[in-house]
Amino acid sequence: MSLLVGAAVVLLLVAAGWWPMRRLGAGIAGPGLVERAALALALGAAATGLAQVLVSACGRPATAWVPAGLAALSLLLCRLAPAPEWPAADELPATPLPRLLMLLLVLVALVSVGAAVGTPFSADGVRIWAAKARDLAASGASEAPSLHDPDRFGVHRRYPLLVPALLAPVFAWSGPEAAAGPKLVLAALNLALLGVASGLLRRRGPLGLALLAALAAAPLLAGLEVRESAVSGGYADSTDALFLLLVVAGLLRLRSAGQPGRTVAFLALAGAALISTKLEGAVELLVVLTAALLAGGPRVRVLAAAALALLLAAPTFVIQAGVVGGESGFDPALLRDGPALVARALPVAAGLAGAALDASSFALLPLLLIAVLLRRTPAPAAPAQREARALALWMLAGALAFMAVAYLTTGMIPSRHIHTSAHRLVWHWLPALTLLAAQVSAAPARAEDRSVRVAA
Amino acid sequence: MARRALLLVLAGALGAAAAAVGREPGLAVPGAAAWAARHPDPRVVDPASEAALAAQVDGERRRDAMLLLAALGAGCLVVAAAPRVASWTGGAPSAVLLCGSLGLGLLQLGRSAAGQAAGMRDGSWSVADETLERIAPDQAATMRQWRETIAPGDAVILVGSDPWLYDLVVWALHPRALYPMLLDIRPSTSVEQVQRGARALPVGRDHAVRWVVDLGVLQPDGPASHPPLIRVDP
Repeated sequence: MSLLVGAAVVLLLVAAGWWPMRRLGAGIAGPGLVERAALALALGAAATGLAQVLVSACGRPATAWVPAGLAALSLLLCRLAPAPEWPAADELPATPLPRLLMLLLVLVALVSVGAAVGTPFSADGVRIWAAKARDLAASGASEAPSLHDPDRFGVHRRYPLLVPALLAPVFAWSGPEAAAGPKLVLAALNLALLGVASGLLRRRGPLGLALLAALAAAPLLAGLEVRESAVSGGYADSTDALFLLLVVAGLLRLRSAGQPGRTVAFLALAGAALISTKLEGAVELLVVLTAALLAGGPRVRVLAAAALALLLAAPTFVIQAGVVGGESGFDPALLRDGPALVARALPVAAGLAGAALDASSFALLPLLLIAVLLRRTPAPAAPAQREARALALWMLAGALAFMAVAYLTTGMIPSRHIHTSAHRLVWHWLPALTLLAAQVSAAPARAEDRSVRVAA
Repeated sequence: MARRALLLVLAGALGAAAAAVGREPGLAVPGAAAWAARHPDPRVVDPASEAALAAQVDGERRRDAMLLLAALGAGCLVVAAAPRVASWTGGAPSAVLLCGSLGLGLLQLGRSAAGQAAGMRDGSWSVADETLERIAPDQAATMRQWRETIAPGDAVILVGSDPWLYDLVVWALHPRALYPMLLDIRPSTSVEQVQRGARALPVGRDHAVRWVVDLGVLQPDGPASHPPLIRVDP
C-alpha cells in the first residue's frame, strides 16, 4: 500500500514538473524520455516542495492536494501554453548511450531503489527526515509542537523542510510504521540525479559518457550500509546534490541561453529548492554563485537569479525564524582561539582528505574529477571551457573552505562530526563537479557549439 | 609496449600494497595520537569514547586505503589489457581511475544486490507496510502493546540514552508527544520512586496522561525494579 502511494506521489511530482521542464529546461533536459522525466521530477519536487513549505508556513498541514493541484496545473499549461520549440535550436548534440552504460544505469536504478524501499528508516532518517515529515502531515510548520515547544522531541529544529514536506502526504496515506512509500520518493529523487546527469553528460562527448559511468558507479548511490548510503537510511543528501547540479547546469547555460529569462527562472527555482533542502544548501548556493561571478559569469543574470531564489525561499526563512531552541551547533569564536585551531588543524585536514579518498562511498570518482579538472587541455581552450574550469576550481575552493570552517568551529569533537557527515557533504558537490569536468574537457567545437549557433 | 609494461608493474605493486594494508588492524593518520596528546581538543570530555571512535575510523581508513589501492591496481590491469580505453578519457591516468572506479562500483553494486537477496530470504528486506519486526524483532511486540496502551494524545517522558532504542521509540510511538530526558535511572529504582520523580517534572503537563519510558530497562542487562513503561499521572 505504502509503495503504491509513494509511486503515485512520484508520478504527481513528474506531472507537476513537466510544464516547467518544457518551459525552462531547454538545453538542460536530456534527449531521452527518461532523462526528461528525471528533470521534470526534479523541477516538480522543487516547485511542489516550495509550495508545500509555503502552505506549511501558513499553518496548514502538507497534504496531497498541493502536488495534485500543481500536477493538474502543469498538465493544463502544457495544453494552454506549450513550450515554443523542442528541442531548442541551440542545444548541444547528444551522444547515444552505449548499451553497456545503459545496462549499468538500469542496474544502479534497480539496486538503489531496492536498497531504499526494502529497508526501514534509520538514524537521522528516523530522527530528522521521517519525524519532520510525519509532523508536517499533521500540522503546519508554524504550529508543529516539535518546532515550537522546546521540551518536545525535535532534532535540528532549524533544518529546512522541503524534503519532509514532499514525504508528508505519503506518510499521511500510509500506515503508522510504513517506510517503503516515503523511501520510494527519496529513491526517485536519487534516480532523478542520475537521469539529469545523464542528459547533461552525454552532450559532452566521450569523456562525458565516461564520467557518467563513474558517477553512476559511486557505491553511495546503491549501498545498504546506512552510513555510506544515499538511499538506505532515508537521508536527503542526494536531493541536495540534485538541486546543486541543477544550479550549476543553469549557470553553464546562463551565458549563452537564447532566452535568458527562462534560464534565470530555472536557476532561481533550483537555488530556492537548494536553500530549502538542507541547512548547508544556502551556503552551497552562496559558494556556487560567488564562484560563478569570480569565474566571469554574467553578473546581472546571476544576481537576478540569486534575488529570485531568495524570494522563493522566503517561507523557509520565515519558518526558521519562528522555531524555538534553534541552537546553531557551531561556535565562530573558536576561529579566534589559537590553541583550539591548532588542536583541530590536523584532525580536520586528515578528515577532509579522508572524505575525498572515501573509496567505499565514492570509489575513485573524486580522484578522477581532480585528474580531469587539473590536466592541461591540448588545444587552446574555448571560453566555455575556461569558464567551466574556473567555476569548478572556485567551487572546489569554496566547498573546502566551507567544510574546513564548519569542522573547525563545530560544537562536536571534529573527528566525530567529520565521521558522521563529511562524506555526505562531499557527495553534494560531486555530480556538479562531474558536469564541470566534462565541460572542461569537451572538444572545443562542442563546447563552443552553442554560442556559435546562437550567434548564427 | 613500455607503457603496458609499466602499467602491469604498477598493477602488481598496487595489488601487493593493497594486500599489505589489508593485513593491518587499522590505518592511523601518522602523528595524530601525538598531536592530540600535545594539543587536546577543548570539547573532549570522554577520552575513552574518543579512543573507541579513533579505532573505528582507523579501521575504516584501512578499508578505504585497501579498496583504493586494489581499484587502482585493477584499473592499471584493464588499461594494460585494453589501451584504447585511454582514448575515451583523454589519457591513461584518468582511464586507470575510471576503470578502477567502475570495478569498485560494480563490486559494491553486487554486494548491495546480494545483501538485499539475503534480506529477502531472512525477512529483513521487505516492502510490506509493517516495519517494526524488521527494525527490532525482539521489541516489536512490546512497541505494538505500548501503542495500544498509550493514547495518541498522551505525553511520554523518554528516559535513557541508547541511540538505537531512542530511534525505535521515536519511530514506534509517533504521533504521541515525546519529551526526551538526558538522564539514566538506576534499574534498582522502584516504580513509586520513578513516578515521584516524574511527577516533579514540568514537561508534558498539558496532556491528559503522562507516561515514562525507560530505555535502560527496555533492553536490560540484569533484573530491574521497575518496568520500561510506567504511567505517571493522573
